[in-house]
Amino acid sequence: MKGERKTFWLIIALVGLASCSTTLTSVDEGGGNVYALPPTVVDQMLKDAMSTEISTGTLRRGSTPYPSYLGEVTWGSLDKDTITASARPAKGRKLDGTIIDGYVFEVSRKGTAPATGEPTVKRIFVKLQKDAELTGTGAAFVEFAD
Amino acid sequence: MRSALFIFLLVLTVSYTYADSESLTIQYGYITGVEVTTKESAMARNMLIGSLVGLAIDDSFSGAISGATAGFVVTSIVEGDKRIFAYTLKLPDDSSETIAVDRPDLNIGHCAALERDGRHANLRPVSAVHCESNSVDSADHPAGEHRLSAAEKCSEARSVLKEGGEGVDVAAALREMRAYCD
Repeated sequence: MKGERKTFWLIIALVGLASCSTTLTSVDEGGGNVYALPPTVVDQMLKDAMSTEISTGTLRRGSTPYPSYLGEVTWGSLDKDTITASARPAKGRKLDGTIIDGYVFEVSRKGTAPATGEPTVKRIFVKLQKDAELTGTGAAFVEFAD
Repeated sequence: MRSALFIFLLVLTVSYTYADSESLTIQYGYITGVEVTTKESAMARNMLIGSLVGLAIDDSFSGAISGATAGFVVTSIVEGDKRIFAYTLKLPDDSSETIAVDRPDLNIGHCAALERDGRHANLRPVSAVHCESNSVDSADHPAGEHRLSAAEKCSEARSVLKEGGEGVDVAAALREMRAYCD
């Protein structure tokens, strides 16, 4: 009986670990950047970053009111992670104190293939962050606007 | 045992001869397209395949084994990540080449070097300077002028992206930004 209980909790723990999620964002408790860009531009940036990592067949637009894309990556033939890249509306403060409307980039994964999903999320986030910084439109994060 | 040693030496000799007979060519171009596919797909087989991917697709280890290369391929297969990245390069003579490789770290607008040695090929990111038709290496094209031109193009691309709006080619502006602001 004791052995069965142990096995049960072990299975629960393994399932929990296998289907974990990760989110990378351009802002955290310590601050970060909001990028003052038009929605068409952030949409294209998300699409470019995702399409270099996600198979064309699985890449699709998200259902959020703000720009987002999602798609799947696999590990072997059974495990799958869903990768989501989005640009959440947010307010930022420029150096002169002006408040601007912009976007914060977030990339997350959820599923049972962290070995493929984790590095994929990191690479997509790095690409987005690099693109965003190149635009030269960064302002200090104030709050989310969604 | 002797025959095994003989075959080993023969393979080494053949590999050396093969490598020696092929000359290395390098072409520079901007990446204009990226498509994610798999090692098993017919699309990947029909492309100019990089040596790393070629090994994985063909299961043929002839002519391309080096410690690092073989190690990378084995690791890639063991890790179960079966994605292949098909990059399209626009060359200075306006022709295009497509190459499928394992590396996911290139993006549209990046300048890359396509290195070919016989049936093997490699793609690696390089400075945008190499993709200019008159590179800074050219005597009649001073580096200062090139940098000024790049800075102007970067500024133009950023302005377009900040404004956005109808009728703006956002994808093209992003390509320009990656090429000239990075």
